[in-house]
Amino acid sequence: MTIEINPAGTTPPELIRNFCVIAHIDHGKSTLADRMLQITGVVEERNMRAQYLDRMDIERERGITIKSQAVRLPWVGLDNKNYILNLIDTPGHVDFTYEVSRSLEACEGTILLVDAAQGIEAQTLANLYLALENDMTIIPVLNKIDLPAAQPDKYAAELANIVGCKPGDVLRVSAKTGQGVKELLDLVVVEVPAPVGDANAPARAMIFDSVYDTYRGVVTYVRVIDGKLTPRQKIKMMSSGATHELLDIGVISPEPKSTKGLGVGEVGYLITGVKDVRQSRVGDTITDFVKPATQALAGFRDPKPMVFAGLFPIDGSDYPLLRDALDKLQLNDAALVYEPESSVALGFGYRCGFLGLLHLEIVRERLDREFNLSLISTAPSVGYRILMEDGQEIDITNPSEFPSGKVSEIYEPVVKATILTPSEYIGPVMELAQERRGQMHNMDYLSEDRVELRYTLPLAEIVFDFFDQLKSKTRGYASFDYEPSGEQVADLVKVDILLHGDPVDAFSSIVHKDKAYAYGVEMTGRLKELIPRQQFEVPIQAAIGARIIARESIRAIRKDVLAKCYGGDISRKRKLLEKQKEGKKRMKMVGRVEVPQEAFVAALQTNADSASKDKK
Amino acid sequence: MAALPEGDSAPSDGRLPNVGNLKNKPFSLYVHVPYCSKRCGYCDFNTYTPSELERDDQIDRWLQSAIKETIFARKILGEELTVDTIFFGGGTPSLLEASVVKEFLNSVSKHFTLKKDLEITLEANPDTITQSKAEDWRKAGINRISLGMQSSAKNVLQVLDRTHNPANVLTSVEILKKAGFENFSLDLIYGTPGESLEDWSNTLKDAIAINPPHISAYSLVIEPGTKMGSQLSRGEIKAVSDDDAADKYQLAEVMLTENGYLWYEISNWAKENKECQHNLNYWKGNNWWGIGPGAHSHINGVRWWNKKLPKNWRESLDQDQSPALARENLTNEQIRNEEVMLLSRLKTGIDKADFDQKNVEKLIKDKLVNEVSGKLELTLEGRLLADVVFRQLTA
Repeated sequence: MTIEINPAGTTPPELIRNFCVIAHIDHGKSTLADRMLQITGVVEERNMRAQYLDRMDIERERGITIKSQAVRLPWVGLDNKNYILNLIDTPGHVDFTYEVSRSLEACEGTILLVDAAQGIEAQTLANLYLALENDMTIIPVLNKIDLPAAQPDKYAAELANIVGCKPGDVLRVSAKTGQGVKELLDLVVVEVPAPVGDANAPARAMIFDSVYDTYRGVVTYVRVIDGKLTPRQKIKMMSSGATHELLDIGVISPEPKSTKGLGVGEVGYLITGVKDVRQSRVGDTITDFVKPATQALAGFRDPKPMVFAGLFPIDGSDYPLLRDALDKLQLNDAALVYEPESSVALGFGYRCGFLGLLHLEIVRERLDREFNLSLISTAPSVGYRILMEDGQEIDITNPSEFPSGKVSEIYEPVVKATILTPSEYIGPVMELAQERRGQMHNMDYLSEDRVELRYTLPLAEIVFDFFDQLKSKTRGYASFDYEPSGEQVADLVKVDILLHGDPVDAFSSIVHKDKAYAYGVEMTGRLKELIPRQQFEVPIQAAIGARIIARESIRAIRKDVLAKCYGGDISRKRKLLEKQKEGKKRMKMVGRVEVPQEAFVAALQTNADSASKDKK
Repeated sequence: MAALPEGDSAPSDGRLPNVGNLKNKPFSLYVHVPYCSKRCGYCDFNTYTPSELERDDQIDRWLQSAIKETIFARKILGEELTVDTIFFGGGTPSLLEASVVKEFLNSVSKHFTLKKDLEITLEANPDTITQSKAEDWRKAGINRISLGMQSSAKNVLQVLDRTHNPANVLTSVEILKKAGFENFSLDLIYGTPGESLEDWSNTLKDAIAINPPHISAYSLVIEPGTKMGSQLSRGEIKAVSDDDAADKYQLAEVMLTENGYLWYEISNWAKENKECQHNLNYWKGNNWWGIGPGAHSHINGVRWWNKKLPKNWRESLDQDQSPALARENLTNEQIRNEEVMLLSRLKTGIDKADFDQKNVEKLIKDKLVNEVSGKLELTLEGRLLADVVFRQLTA
């Protein structure tokens, strides 16, 4: 079925509906999008593939959307008018809160999609709050009603309670079978307000996504607020003042299609030939160069990295490859920042800043998968603001930058965290949050047996294994989400780990005073197990400044010889020694101590692995 | 059973590349007798019990193929070399009938020149020695016995799966002496799980009391794939720490030195002039041909090793083909590495001048080597850290 529609650029705003879908991972957002593509006829049956809109392998495999996209769907409303529905996909994770907020900003309404077998999750709730702050129309929908485990009545009541509607208003669909999806599209036409804007005012369009494409350069996704954008038009980015020419402009349906322009309320893409997404930043306002708007749209900001980690190639000769790979990733990831770093233990690498833990994980995974780089990551840390007694203020993102002079106050970033848990686990969850220096703000029963807890937590306390701990204490039932919420003064110290008196930079950590001892004992103990015995005794110490807080020691090695070496042993023994010699070349020297890189990797992995799971 | 090293494929005709003059170094024969009545728990040598072999590969068929390989060796070497030493190892060579030993040595003497008074050693299990057998061995030409005593602690022998009674060692030595064997070695193992320092001290005392001309003492290595290896991985036995092994090595050094035994290789001590000449040939990089399944050979920088299974070894020889499985043509660097690795294990040491003096100085400073008239000699600590010394010297 093909619907006669107004070509893009000429659609009257009253026939446009811009909406997005807020959902938790696995609650069926991509499947719902697939079904909408099919039902509206923009993708023919034979061309259909699962999760059509998810472009990266990582997205498809992990079932998350990293970058958003917009697709233009024609739809005949119940009033028989030909509407244009723009489905704007939102990134599915807290790390991308800012990007989510821009995607929401481009819409007038949102579908709140919840799995009828699982109920709402913390992250969905957080995004819902964002939508509510934006005064958007919310359409609550239960998905997967075809599942035997579905409990639509229970979760409809829960949703109604959260959104403030009647349980009967919650639409029930199965994105998988298509049941209820037509009704949902009709409801979008009825419920979501049409966009409003001044067609005669100077052009203003908001960038809600920006993607690097190898062939076309940066593809920028925009929502036009006022005026009109046309091909060959000279445009200006209002935050930077940079000017570009519109080489191509069009809509996605679901493949890119050039148009004669985009008018008020319309959503589409534009191409200017820039090669780096940082020149076309999410949240920025595009206007006409000749007749510019005076006022940029509100809400633009530079995404600030929150979590930092050193990335080092396991094979030192991969360093130039790592640099090239980061350069390439940055073309498509304006939030990724990095600078060269060198470490005694790990050699040359990059100190990278990320929006959050998932962002870190995604970057690491892409470096591994797309660039084939084996990397070791230091434990993730956060940035601190340090006030010195002499009044000087220092920002640090790496424990190695911790000043040696007299510190007056240290400020650490904090987050507002939302935890949803079955009520039977409230006790353990509260214990965990308290252990992590959390301050509870409120506790709400979403339904009889599900509770929402809101905390302020130091970001540094959740970059380690917080999520793992939460999951294990609640048998996997709790969900967790957070958003940055300023900073607080904290009693923090830097703990150094010394090997034979020499600090091992990769293990220095800024921790709360009460946890310094535990960190010291843990790290010295772990290194004792991992570092091979040397020809001399090697003390391993944890220290705050000059004060030793924990100590282990590796006794000197006394035996390193093969007892037997007869005729039949010689070849094997020689090969063994030659291999050991090769291994020795890869040893890192910390002062006089030889440490195999694997030991550092293993010591760090225990941290990093648990931290990297701390996502979703 | 320990895997053979990896190597290049060996040509079936066994022909060697141009290896130069063969007469400029001593040439030895190693003879592998891969039979045991029962396999010991720690053993990773190429050995077989009767039930594991076909009729044609039982011990009574060994001689035929061994002689074939002797003739094959002569053909490949292309000249009649003088044999400096012969060593029957195993397995349990003492299971061989003395007549078989005799016939084999006769065959060797037909195809090679035997050096006058050459050392001919046979490894023996104390359980297999009888007076008449010992006398026949002696008559056949064997003049040195390497006796597997291992330990005098019953609990240790049990863990090792050794069948003999410690008292048999004494009896065996009496028999051997009576048969005219003046030259023999007692082979000891230390560091068996469950062995106390006192057990080891008693073993050393008992061995010294027998007053053998030669004692070897090996730190037990539990190899994967052996019975003890499985016991270890199942947690039934506990690995002995390196520190325990080091303590026991030092105890051996003290007790043996006090009783007139001098170390001449890391795991070997002897009274004056009683060093094992055959093993010294290995360590000095001399040439040898290994006869028997899985035996290794070395001829001027070419190493090879035979097929492990007696059947495969036999069938190759039956077709007048080389029984070698694979070989290695050593590069100059590999030859040098072997030289450093082997010579540094010896009391006689290795020339100091051939190394980067910075590395040497560090080793001297760390008290791992001493300089003795231009040679580097391992200290007691250095003997226990010989691999460290090797890596440092060749760094």
